[in-house]
Amino acid sequence: MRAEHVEIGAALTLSEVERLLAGRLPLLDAVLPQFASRLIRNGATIGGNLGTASPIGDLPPALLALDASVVLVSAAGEREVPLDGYFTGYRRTVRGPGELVRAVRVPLPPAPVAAFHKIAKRRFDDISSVAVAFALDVADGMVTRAAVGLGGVAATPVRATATEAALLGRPWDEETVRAGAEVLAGEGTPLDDHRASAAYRRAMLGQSLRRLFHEAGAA
Amino acid sequence: MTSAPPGRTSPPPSTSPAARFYTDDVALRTPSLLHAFPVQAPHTHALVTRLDPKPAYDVPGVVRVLTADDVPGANDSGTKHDEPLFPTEVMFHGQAVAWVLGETLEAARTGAVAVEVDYEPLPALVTVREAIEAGSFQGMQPRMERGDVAAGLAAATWVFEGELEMAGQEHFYLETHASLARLDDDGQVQVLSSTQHPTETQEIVAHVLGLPSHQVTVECVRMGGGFGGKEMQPHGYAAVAALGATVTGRPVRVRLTRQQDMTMSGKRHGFHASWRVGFDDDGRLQALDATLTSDGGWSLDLSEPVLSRALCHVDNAYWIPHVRLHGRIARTHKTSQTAFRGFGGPQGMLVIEDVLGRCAPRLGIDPTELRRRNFYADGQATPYGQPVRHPERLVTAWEQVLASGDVAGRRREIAAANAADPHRKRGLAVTPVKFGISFNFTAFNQAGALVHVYKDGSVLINHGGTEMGQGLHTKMLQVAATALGLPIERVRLAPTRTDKVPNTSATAASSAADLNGAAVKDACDQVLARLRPVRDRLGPDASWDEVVSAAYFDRVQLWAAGFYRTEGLSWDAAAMRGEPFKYFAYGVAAAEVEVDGFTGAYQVRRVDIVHDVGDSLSPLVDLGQVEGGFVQGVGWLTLEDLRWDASDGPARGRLATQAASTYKLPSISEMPADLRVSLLERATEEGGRLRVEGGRRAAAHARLLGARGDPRRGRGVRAGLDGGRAAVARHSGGRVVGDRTGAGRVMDWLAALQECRRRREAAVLVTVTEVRGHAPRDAGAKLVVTAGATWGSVGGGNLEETAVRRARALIGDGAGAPVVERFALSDRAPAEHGVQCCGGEVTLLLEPVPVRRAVAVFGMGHVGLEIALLLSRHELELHLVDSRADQLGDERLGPVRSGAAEVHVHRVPVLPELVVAELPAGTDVLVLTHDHAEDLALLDALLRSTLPGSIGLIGSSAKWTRFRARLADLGHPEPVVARVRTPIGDPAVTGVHGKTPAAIALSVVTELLARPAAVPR
Ligand SMILES: Cc1cc2nc3c(=O)[nH]c(=O)nc-3n(C[C@H](O)[C@H](O)[C@H](O)COP(=O)(O)OP(=O)(O)OC[C@H]3O[C@@H](n4cnc5c(N)ncnc54)[C@H](O)[C@@H]3O)c2cc1C
Repeated sequence: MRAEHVEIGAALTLSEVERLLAGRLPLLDAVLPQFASRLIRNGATIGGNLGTASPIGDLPPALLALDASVVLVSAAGEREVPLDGYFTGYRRTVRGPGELVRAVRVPLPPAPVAAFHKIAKRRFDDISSVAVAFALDVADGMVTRAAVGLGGVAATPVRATATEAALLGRPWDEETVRAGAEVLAGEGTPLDDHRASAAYRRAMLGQSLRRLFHEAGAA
Repeated sequence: MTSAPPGRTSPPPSTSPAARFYTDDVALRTPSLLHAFPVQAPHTHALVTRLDPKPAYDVPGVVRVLTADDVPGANDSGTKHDEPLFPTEVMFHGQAVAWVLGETLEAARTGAVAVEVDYEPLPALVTVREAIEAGSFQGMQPRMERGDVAAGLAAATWVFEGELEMAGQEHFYLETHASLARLDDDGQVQVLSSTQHPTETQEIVAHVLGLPSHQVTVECVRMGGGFGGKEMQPHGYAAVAALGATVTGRPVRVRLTRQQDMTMSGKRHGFHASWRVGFDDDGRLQALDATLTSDGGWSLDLSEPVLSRALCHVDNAYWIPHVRLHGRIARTHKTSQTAFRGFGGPQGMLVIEDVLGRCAPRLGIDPTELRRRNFYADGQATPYGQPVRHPERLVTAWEQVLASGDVAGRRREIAAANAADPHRKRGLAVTPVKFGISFNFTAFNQAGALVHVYKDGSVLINHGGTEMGQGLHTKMLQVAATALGLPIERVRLAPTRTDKVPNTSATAASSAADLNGAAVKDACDQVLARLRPVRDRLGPDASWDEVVSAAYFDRVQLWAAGFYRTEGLSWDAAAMRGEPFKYFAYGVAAAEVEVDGFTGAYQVRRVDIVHDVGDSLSPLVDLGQVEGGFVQGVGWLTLEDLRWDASDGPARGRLATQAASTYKLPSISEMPADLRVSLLERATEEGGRLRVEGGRRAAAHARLLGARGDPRRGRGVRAGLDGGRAAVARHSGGRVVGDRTGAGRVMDWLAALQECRRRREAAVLVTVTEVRGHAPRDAGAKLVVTAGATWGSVGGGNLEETAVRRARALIGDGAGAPVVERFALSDRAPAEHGVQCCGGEVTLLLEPVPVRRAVAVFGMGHVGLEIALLLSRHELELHLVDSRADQLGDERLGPVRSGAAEVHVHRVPVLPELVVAELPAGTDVLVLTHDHAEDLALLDALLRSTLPGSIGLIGSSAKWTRFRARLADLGHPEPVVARVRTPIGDPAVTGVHGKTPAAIALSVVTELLARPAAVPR
């Protein structure tokens, strides 16, 4: 761990990540209890979650909202890639042959308003239908930093850039939230499948911002 | 997960080593085994225009491709002859059109891919609505009618109508379908199958192979769960294995993968229902006109009896004077829907619950109150003409749930919580269940068993029921061991086989323990009767082994075939009338749910269930069954999602949720945070048969009760929606209509006293005897007080509170004498609970109504009858028990019933000691059965219980010496054994009057009544 970022080894299990971070990244603390079950978290690694590159994986939306980058390593050497540019398509990434994820870097300090909303059929041990990760900073009633990561709305995990723009620099109030929720509901291209309908997924996107405002409260 | 066999008892040490295996464990230990793999059609409805198995034979390890050409008998695996085993017309997505046999599973799988099949796709009906529109039905279209529905609706104040659709459910037993077939040296076909109905599996295998039934033996070692999914569905897989074995001469194994099982095997029926209902001014049901259409899938299977049971449960717990029910079975291009725990009952009940749930707000009546108001009363009958016996049990269960669940208090909490939080809303629903026990199909209510006693005294039993984790085999061992008076280790149970007990019924309809237990008992009784002369000759000190050995040398037959059929059932399937059920079991659940307004996600916060399981042979097993059934119900109605592709795309008709990753079973996270299940006390069914099981039927109801967990259920039950959470969001918009607190049940003082007496709760009757000046109530006003409740009123306020306190003090002291109290009502005088300014003076009489003494007589022979006669003249609760039905005939007991005592007759052909658990605490018990083994079993049970106030045993001192030794062997320490009083009776009486039954009875009763009754805690 260095001063300007936290580096998480890719081979750490999620249970170890939870223990070692010890609350330094509140957003990950919000994700992990909702990730599968303890049984799985004791074995699943952060590298595996990024390696499998599923559009409905739970860590990518959170790590996107945290502005994380991945450290890739191969015989040829190491390179650091922002997570935002890591995913290239449905379960495809910029990783070349022979390249592994060695670590994940998350800049410090993290945004103080952090939340992870996972929508699934079952509370434990289920995959997200939609996942929304928020990392916001609110100073003097104004949104000074807005990062929103989404899962389950496109072929890859994505940043909700339009929503971020709709929030940034605005007062953190009901009006902004109402407008932001509408933008958020239009992000990505959610599909109908046997986990949820596209309409429900869109509705849940909008609801997530309203819920965040309700739970985090006006700052 | 619900699929784990719930409440499974571990196999007792006496089960055979083979019985520890499941079918496929045996298969995998079988040498030269072939593996079968299906060729599944990728179409929902299509003609097979060409099927070429040749390319499969190029795959190394492929031994044989089975097609219709191989079938020597009938190419048909359905009891209704509508299920071709190798179809030329594909009727559902994934149907097997051929099976490949390989040296390895991988070879068979690769071979299946290589088989070339051409299809001509045809239009398919996927949803029940499509089938209704197309007029695609199969089988019977029954009508059940009572009264004049048109007139009833015309006369009703309110008429509503609605529609409801409910989805099916995957059984998800842990063990998927499995069969192993082999030929023995005589060419006999031996099939090991995971089947709930071995006899029917045998018949279908014989039918396909063109053999008589005696050429085919089907054995079921045990199942890893069935839930009804293995009642009719295993036959085809067993037939494929048997056909493979006949064709190749080698053992063949069929074992479905989870995905094959989910795509090929039948499930719970989804239903569509449309209804019109009429209520009077008070919200009483006047008339119901409903059409239920089940989604039967591609073949009839068990759809007809499932539909019958559904129609027989539309009334649930409610009296509806005018009823017309119409049932239909849609034929759709889906798997063949089949039996599933509850067998249509839950689907039928859901219809009327939907009606009440949706109409309550429109009637402006609290839904709980609306339900309670419509309960059956004594003397009323179901729409199919069966009298509803013991409806008061439902009231008891209802009140027990309201009280133990503190429903009124929690309603207030819920209202406060809902007012405080705009985004989280809670609701609480209370729902009753009435469920009919027995097979609707009368002929199935029979059972057989074999009991073999070997020369060394060890015993082998065999019966027609199958074990699927519900603990049936353990119960049957208990029945035999108890009947024969042997420790359970002396009895072994051999797996169910059709060459041992023929013509068995399916293990289903919650009746397996009842039916098979009675058959086992019958066989044991026959053996015991034959042993009796030998025992008499050898004397009372001869051991079981000595008697058996001597009997063998006397050439006494030491084995017997037992048989049982349930008497008194009748069912006219054409008229939909009769008395198809031996009895009704009742249950009530109160479920509190919280919904998140942002997402629609919900949580079951707390559930209280009271369930009537009769007398439980194994309460732990039965509680487990209720809990398991409840969670299975939560899964059915809120989470599990059989999503058939109903689009017009290429996958139309395919099951999209065909694995655990997308078909979500409830897990630990869906269990209610607080789940409280209790069994209804003293629900003895005096029906003359083994009163046990209950677990499975309990489970069935609990499943329905579980459904009630969702307070918005009336808004449509997940028909093709987004799955649990999404459905909730769509339907409720995050809005929960919290139930308004209903008026409590009002009982007048007389009913309240009777209720207290029935529940054996001490009470005090408070009466206003005199009023001077101004007072809130006149003389004669009455109030009944118990430790926890009050009924009626003597004027409220501080007067009443003081009276209640005094009354409770009397109850606490166990007082028997009445007390008179005078109260002045002025702002100065009384002060215990503040002031009450009416200015008058009131005199109250407080009369304690203590709990009556209870006496139980086990054994109604000559002496027992005389004792009962004497006791019946006193104000007592008298329990009379005998395992011989003729000893408890109405004529014989007539005089006993004419006295002051409240007489409870327990007819228990097997295990009379089970009555012990239901006797009121403090009961004085007299043991004098006709049978020493029964006496001993009773003493064993009585000494294990803390309930009896005293235990008296009639018998000689020689008998007692032997019993003491046996009781010590059974692990009772000396001081415990000393609780038994023997000999009993006042010798002064018998000394003078001799030992006639009347004199013995007089001496026993004299002595008994001279002692004070134990005070029940
Ligand atoms: C019951 C169950 C529940 C689950 N619930 C969730 C959930 O709630 N949320 C969720 O997001 N996921 C869930 N998963 C998916 C899975 O657990 C996670 O994706 C997990 O993080 C994978 O980690 P692993 O170490 O097991 O990876 P593996 O399964 O070993 O690997 C996954 C893939 O990543 C590659 N890989 C592994 N490590 C690296 C590396 N360092 N660099 C590059 N590639 C690598 C592997 O080659 C493989 O292709 C669930 C899985 C199960 C079985």
